Amino acid sequence: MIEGSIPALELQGVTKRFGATTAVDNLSLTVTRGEFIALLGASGCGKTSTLRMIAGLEQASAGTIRIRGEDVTTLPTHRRDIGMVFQSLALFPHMTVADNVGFGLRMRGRNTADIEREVKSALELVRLSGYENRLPASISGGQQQRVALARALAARPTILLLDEPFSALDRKLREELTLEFAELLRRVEATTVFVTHDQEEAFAMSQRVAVMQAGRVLQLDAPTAIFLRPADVDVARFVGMTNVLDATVDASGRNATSALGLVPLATLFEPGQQIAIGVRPEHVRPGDATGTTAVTFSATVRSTAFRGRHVSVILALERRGLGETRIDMLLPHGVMTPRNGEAIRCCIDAAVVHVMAAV
Amino acid sequence: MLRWATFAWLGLTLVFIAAPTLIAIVVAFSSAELVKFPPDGYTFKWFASAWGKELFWRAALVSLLVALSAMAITVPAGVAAALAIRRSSVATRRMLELVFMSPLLVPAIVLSLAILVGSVLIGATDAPLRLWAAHSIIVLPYVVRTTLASLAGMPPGVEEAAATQGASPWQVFRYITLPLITPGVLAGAAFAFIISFDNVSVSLFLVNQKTPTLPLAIMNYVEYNFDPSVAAISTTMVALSLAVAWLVERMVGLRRILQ
Repeated sequence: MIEGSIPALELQGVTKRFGATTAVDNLSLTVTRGEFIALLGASGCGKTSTLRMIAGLEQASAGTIRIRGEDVTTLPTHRRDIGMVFQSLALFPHMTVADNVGFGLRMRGRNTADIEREVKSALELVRLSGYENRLPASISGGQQQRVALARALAARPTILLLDEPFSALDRKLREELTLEFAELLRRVEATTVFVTHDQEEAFAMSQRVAVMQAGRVLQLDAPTAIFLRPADVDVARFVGMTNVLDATVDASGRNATSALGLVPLATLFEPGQQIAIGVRPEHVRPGDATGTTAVTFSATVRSTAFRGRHVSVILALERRGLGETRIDMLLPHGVMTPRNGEAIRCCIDAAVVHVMAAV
Repeated sequence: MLRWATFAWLGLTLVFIAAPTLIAIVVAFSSAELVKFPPDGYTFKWFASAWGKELFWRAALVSLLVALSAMAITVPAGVAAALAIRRSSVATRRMLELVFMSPLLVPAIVLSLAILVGSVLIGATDAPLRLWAAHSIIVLPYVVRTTLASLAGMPPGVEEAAATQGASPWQVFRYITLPLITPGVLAGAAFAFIISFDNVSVSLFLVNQKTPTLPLAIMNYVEYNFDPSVAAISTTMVALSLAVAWLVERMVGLRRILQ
């Protein structure tokens, strides 16, 4: 086989059980060379266990892990060709920045001149030249972050693993480093598996995102696809498509009846089919619809919250005899701030209504 | 008012702790022929007299040898035990900790009696060997404890990080774990030395009359003599202990270990 056709990383039916609980359930995943993939999910979804199995810090209960075609499932961590950035960073406190970055090269038995050169270029890459002789405790959090990345990259591993590396930083620094690291890793074409619970981070950095829940991958797709076309109701809720309603396809197959009324569908469905429709809160607009392919409805304002750039509004949709349905709306700042209890008219463009399988 | 009361109380406590030692030190320099406080005049002659006695410096040599050899075996053993304890499951861990701390809980008399009987049973009646074994047992908990404390104080993830960097388990220990726990290990070694050097209760059963340890030689001497040379010997021992404590403090900071 030619080099280019072998995936950098391949997981096949990988499972991890801790006693009676299954942390990772029959997970398969292929990462091509130079690709940046994120494992996204809430805590306990199995993303960290998956990463630790790739690193060999946990043993898989079942399944196969291949790095560049080689079966490494039972290979100890130090013999896998990986680099990893830990959530706690785990810099070696008794070593200088240069010794931290050069550690992997030293362990791999490279000669002194080689090590010096690679350390220098790794530190240049993360813009930390001149910090060689500092101890980790004497540099800032953002700089420590960069040292951790330089250390993971210095030996040019086949796979780079990032375990929530930004979670300890404050918001501003996190956003800065997210973009900087994403750009840097694209430049060096590092094959990267990135674990995070933050969807903005995952979307901003990755080419593909695997949304995980209960040890399984719910959807593996490009960030925009996951954002706009979540595969199911769970993914929809996770990526902030909070308005999910039950609906039934009408006799024509072109509309669905729901709490919002009659919603036009983009494609033809089987009459009578039960479906779920999803709408992002920012796609709910105040006022009456103007086009023909839109849905208009009346609702009562239950609460509003000012969030800086946005005002989030919770609406209640009255349904005769069926109680209330909650609709979330996100208004750009300055549009309007409705009062609690006020009855308002709202509309949704049919093009942004996303159809999913009923739950 | 409360401030002054606190200081007064603190001062009293300090006097209570330090006074006996201070008195022994003062007496060591006394010119009188018998132990007497306060002394009439001052001299160094008791140090010369004490260390001129073969009895004392031979005993000091025995004590030093026992303490150093006990230290030499318990430091690696204690570190290994601490590493094993840390890797165990919670239940095993509790049990192992109890086992390794048990020499602190079992009365020294019981321990030394058991070792005496045991050594006679297997025919190992060589006194220095017996002493070495017994002292190793009583000082082991100190090494295990200080090592465990420093293992717990290691930053999270550094060993795993080293493994992901290609370090084998041995290299992880050599370049990461060992340098980071060295303060605790050194403190444990110092404790091991002082505890062994100072011990009476265990040694009492196991020495032979020709080669006593220093504390036992002092006890024997005091039975028939009561001149300040005993105080001079004690002062030397205090100085030695302080020197070890000072060394540890200089190297790692004693306060960190005693917490």
